[in-house]
Amino acid sequence: MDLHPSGALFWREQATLVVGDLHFEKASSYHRSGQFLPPYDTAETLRRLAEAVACFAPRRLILLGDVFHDGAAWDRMAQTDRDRLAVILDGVETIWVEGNHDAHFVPPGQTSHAVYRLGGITFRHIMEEAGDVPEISAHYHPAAVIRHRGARLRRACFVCTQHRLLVPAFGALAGGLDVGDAALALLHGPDTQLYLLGGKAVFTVPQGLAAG
Amino acid sequence: MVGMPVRNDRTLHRSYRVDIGVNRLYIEFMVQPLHDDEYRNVGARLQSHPLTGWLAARGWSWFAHQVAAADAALGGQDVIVFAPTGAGKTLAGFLPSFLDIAERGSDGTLHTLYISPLKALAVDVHRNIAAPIEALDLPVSFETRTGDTPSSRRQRQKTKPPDFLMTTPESLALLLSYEDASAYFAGLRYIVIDELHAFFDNKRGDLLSLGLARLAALAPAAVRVGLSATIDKPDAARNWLCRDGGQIVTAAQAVPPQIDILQTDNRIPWSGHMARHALPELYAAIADARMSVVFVNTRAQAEFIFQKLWQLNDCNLRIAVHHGSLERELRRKVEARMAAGGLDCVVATSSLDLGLDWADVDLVVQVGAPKGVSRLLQRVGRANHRLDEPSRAILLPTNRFEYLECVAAQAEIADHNLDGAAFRQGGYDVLAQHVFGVACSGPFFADALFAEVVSAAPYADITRPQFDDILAFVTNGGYALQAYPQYNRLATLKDGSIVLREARMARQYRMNIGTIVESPMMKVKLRNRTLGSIEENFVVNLSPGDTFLFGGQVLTFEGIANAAVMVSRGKGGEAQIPSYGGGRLPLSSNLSQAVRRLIGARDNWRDLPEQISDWLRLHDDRSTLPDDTTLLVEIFPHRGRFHTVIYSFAGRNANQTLGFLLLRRMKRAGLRPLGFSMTDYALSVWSLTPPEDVGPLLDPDIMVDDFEEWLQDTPLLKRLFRDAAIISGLVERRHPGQVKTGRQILFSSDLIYDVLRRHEPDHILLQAVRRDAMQGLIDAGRLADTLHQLHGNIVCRRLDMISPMAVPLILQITRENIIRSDEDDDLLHDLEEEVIRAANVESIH
Repeated sequence: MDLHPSGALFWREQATLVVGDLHFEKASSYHRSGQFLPPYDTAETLRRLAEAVACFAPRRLILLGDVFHDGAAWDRMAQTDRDRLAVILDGVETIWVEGNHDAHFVPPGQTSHAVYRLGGITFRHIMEEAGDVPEISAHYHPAAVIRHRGARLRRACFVCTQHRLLVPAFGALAGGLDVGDAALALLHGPDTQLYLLGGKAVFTVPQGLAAG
Repeated sequence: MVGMPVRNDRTLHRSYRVDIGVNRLYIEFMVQPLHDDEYRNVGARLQSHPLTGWLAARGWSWFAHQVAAADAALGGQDVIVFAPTGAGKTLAGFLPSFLDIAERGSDGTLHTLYISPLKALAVDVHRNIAAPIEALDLPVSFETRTGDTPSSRRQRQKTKPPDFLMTTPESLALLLSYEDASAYFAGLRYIVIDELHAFFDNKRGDLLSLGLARLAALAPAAVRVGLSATIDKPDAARNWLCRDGGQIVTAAQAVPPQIDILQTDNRIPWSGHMARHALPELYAAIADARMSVVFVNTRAQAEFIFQKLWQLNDCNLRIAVHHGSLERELRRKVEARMAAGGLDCVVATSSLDLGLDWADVDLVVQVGAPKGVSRLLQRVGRANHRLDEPSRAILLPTNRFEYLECVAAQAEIADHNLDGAAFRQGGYDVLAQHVFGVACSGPFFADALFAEVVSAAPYADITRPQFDDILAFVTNGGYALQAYPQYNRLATLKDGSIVLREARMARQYRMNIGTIVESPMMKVKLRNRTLGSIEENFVVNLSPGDTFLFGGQVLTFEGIANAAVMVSRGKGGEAQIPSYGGGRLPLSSNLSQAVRRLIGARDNWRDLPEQISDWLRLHDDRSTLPDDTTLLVEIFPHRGRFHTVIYSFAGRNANQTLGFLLLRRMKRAGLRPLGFSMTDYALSVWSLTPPEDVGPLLDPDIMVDDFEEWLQDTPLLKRLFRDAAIISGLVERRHPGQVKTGRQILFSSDLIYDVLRRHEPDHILLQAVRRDAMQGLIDAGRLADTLHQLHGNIVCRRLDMISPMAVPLILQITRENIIRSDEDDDLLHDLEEEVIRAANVESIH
């Protein structure tokens, strides 16, 4: 599988692109509480999505949940952004996996899946506690801190164990949870590999080297 | 002396002991006999006031500058008093208030507002004015209000204000944001601002200046009285504080301090900051003094030196440590013991600067470079409460460059050359906070508020369109794309007045007041006991098992639990010394010029210790000495790389900017630069290929094209944006003790910055960050000046090996934060390579 520095994952054999946690309209959801975050996150996330789709030309696109930041996000989304999304998805079989933020919402005319299976791999928003079925999930927005030669760097990352792969959040304002966090204890182990998103490439770091 | 001169012909020389509260001031000064015709506003009123009798009963009298300042203030004019610490400044500030309220009587509203930059000082001044008020049973009520004041008292202060209120700029902003602010301040007569010089060059000053502008609208009759240390631009200070017709009063100056450099027979290190070489001599000096304060620049130094002094403590001196991350109670305990004479020595960072005012300190030791003449003088001057005897101070340079800096500082002080006081342009983020605060207090009109804002000196240059952008930012974020008017903070009514859309929004403002954004602090816990707090930024760099010094003990980092840093007692005496990011203050231009002159003037070397002059001579033999008219550049190979060392003496901020710019330029020239390191004095860029000709590299045009390009993606702006986002109210402040949510997926200001920069690069908050950056962190002005002045006089030396003066820069490479390049990818790539090498495997891709 190809890991893209945007945070997207491309499964070449299946011509399938996977992205997690787009969180459209996250900024505008904060406007209600008087925090006026720049309302450009949706446009920026779409720009990145368009780029990833153009780069891999997938037959199928799996959206791994939390596409929308909340149930009303679609209503707030500007018509130009909706049109843009339609153009990106045009001709691509799109699988909408249910997230926790948008559990009861998909755009008109779409259906959602609690889980989706493809080629022996299970795709779901939040990883399962038990089981050793190969699984790809999102939800946690994994990020890692590394220290090297006196510098400190925090980056979103893929987390990979024997059976599980966690994809980073794709949304422009999505933020991150430290991979060392107790919530990700399931993934802590000597063989865990992190793939940090750089500006132009993805970098491999054993989890032991992340500062946590 | 400017403004109202105190003439010498009719002065008489007498000694007085002035005892105000717990301050013990032994002072000799010039006294001006009072003549009613000269001080028409104050003369008769002063003679009949009980305070005069109170002083006289103790054999004391008024200072001339106290009388002159009171005369101006009672005449309705704003006034600044320049006086050394200890010269009765508190009374100078409050005298007009005492005289006025004696005649007028208390009317149950706030009469005098006293504002200080530090809570501790407000508390101290409270004590100082309590003494005469209580002794004379004056009918004046006075209270203190800071962030530490219990809410019940704050509530009462709101409904039943005291006559005199001691507070800080933040608490003033809070008071101004209440709906009844105009009634609350309507009876205000005097505003006393202490330590005025501490407000000119920072955002707290911006906030205060806007608060004063607001007060001028609410209480036009309130007179401003500023108390300041002596600075080199009194007129600029007057312009900052005073409205039309402001007066300047200058007190007689104290005897210049006696400043020595601690001598040692040991080798003075070429680099480093821990003063290991002179600790026995330091101990001897403090053992000699009655009560000493050892000032250091960073907390790491404080911890290290405190521990080492105890190891040498054969005389059982009572030595304490004081720095900003110790529990407040511990700090208060140290201060109280100092005041009571229960300590012989305190090792302290600037957190203690004010503690000096109330203890009988007879020696100040400055460890490390003073960085500026004015700062050193203020620190040293605090220690001594006798104006007729010189203050005593000892400088302890921790490396050779610092030794030169200390010698230069001695000379500058002897010549009375103060550093140029810096005045800044006000921050847009602070203005946004202020506008929100004004809205919280009630309806306002944009035109009137704009007029008010430009009357504040830091905002005098702001244009109406800029102001409107800030107003729009407060209203709804001010984005070109705006969709949700129902969520706006502000609404415009039919009559054109602007109001807060919902009253509950005021809470958001009040939770976020202030301009100081610190790294969130985490509690340090030894089992169940809290030892103090430490910056999160420091903690993220620790791994379990790391040892560090804290509160004078060696602690082992165990991990993080319940948002606290868990530690155990370290085994063994030595700790790894953490490298805190302290000492960021760049070397002042004045002092850096003095250092260059010192290096260039061989005649003056005879006063230097032999090892320092030998070091200079050695450098001269191997290379060339940098002096004050040339720009020395050295190029030499070292460990497979070529170092280009530029002795700019421009201060670390300007050097850092130049480093980033040169990385770009050298990359373009195909020299394959890899990184740089800098000090206040010089910059070293290393590359795989040496530059052929340094002239074009250092051409001042680097400040045009390369600069603009670099500014677009420098991580420095991102860092500033974090602060601006909080100050401006774009994101909410995290409060100490606030537990992080389990899934910390809030939003990061870094991501906001990236999105905003791409989609609305001219947004007012990005302009705000740029404006801030140019003034401080990037120091573009100073860099441009240096390059323009010296470009024609570049002396380039190609050497076979490292030169003596370059050693500190090269040593720093292995030790401190090195900026490799603007791009994170290089760092990640490097780490990956290392992992691959260590694992002895091929690339995993």
